[in-house]
Amino acid sequence: MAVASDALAGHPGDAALPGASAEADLVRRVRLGLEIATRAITIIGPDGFRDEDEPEGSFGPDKLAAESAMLLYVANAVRQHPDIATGIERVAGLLAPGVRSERTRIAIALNPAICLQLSMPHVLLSRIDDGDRQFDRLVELSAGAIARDGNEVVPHRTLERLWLESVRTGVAREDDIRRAASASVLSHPVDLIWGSREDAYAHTHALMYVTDFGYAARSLPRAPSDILRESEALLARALLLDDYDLAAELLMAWPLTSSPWSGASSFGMRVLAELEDEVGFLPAKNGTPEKFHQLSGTERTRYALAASYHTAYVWAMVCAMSLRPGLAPPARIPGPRADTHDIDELLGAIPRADTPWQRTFDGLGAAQQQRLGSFLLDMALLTNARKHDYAAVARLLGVAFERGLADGPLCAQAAELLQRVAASADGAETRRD
Amino acid sequence: MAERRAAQVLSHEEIVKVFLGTGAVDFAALGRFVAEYGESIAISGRGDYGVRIGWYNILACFKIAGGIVRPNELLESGIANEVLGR
Repeated sequence: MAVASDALAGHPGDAALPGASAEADLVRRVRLGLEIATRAITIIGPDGFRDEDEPEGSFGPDKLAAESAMLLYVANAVRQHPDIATGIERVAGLLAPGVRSERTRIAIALNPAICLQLSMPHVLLSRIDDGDRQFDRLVELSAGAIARDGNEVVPHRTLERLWLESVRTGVAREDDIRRAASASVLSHPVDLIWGSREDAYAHTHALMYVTDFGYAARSLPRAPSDILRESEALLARALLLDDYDLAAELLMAWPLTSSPWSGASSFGMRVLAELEDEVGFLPAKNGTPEKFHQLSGTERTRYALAASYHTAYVWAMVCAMSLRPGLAPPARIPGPRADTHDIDELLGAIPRADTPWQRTFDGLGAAQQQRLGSFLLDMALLTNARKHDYAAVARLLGVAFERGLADGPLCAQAAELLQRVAASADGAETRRD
Repeated sequence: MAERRAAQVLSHEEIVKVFLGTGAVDFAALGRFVAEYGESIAISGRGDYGVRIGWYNILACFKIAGGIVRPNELLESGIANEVLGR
């Protein structure tokens, strides 16, 4: 592993690296994301990606354009790094013609209820290039149309619209943003054990929009520490499921709220950094779909990029956010130090597997591993609850309470789960007495 | 409503403490019960793989397949060369 990448990797000796190394490491990762964007826009940008065999994996050019513009918007905050500035200019130049194409103009003219989403690439790109006044006029007309609110959306989507409107006009409707945030999952916990992927996305996206991707410091409907403890539990679940796209989105929570990195989140950064270094880019869970092996030539390249660009973008965004002053992940894992015996007990409740998070954990020194008691407890509870080993969950809750580790949202949700399951079953069959 | 309000003022640790004080339940039997009858219900309607991609649903992920990520297999597949163009 290169010296620079050590900034996010394990250090058995517990030695902290100087900040300059961490910065260079993060710059390198953002630059890689921009290189992948260059390639994705060049190769699949004009038409998007169509797969007759896997229609759910198909997408139009709008999705890639919007996500590329989002990457530029985030990276632009740290363009004082020459390599990043060069990459931004290159990607913006490639993106602009498609973003303001005849096709997009017509779509905006015809669909006022979703015109903000359709114009997102243009709106974000206008922060970087010279913009397009004629295009602005079209968006203004569509956004002011009678039918502009005709597409009813859930709270985090309302936040997305309010965010886009604020970037477009330069004026944030603070009361509306506060109301939408209060109606979103930022105001109440998601189901950490069996909640859907969409639920987790609502959690991550609401935070991105309410903070304007880190450009705005707003108060949240709950204490940031409460929200971040849920982000930690969802991060453990994403790592358990090898879902690196979601894991990267969850890691944004710390820089977005300008919060100090926790043990779990700084560990999560190391897992993803080491995986990127090993593979060459941060893979999605579908990293090498079976179909990839059956393709050749241009089709093979297009398929690989379509399956992979998104996760690489999200990871580059996290790294760019972490490059803002004072937000770089620490060289050493922070947090209270658990007893070695407790760590071993928690590890004993998690099946051994050759997964990226377990490899990164194994590479840490004992003192670093001991900072991850809370993370291992979340991982043990999730592993056992999801395979319905409720006896193990009950045992873990007892251990957690004894050791003073039970004050986390996942512990509380696991306890409630067991109570509900006990109430749902036939007492005569399941009661010991 | 009163119960709901009461639940909201309990800390996470207190919720665990209340649970631990509820008495002896055979959770191993409950687990078998749920695993036998509940799995299809739990997975069919919701779950981690319910991917919904809309053309204006930004930052929605590509289809997430089952299985685990194996860096060695990824390296051998050559997918990095295709993604990075190297």
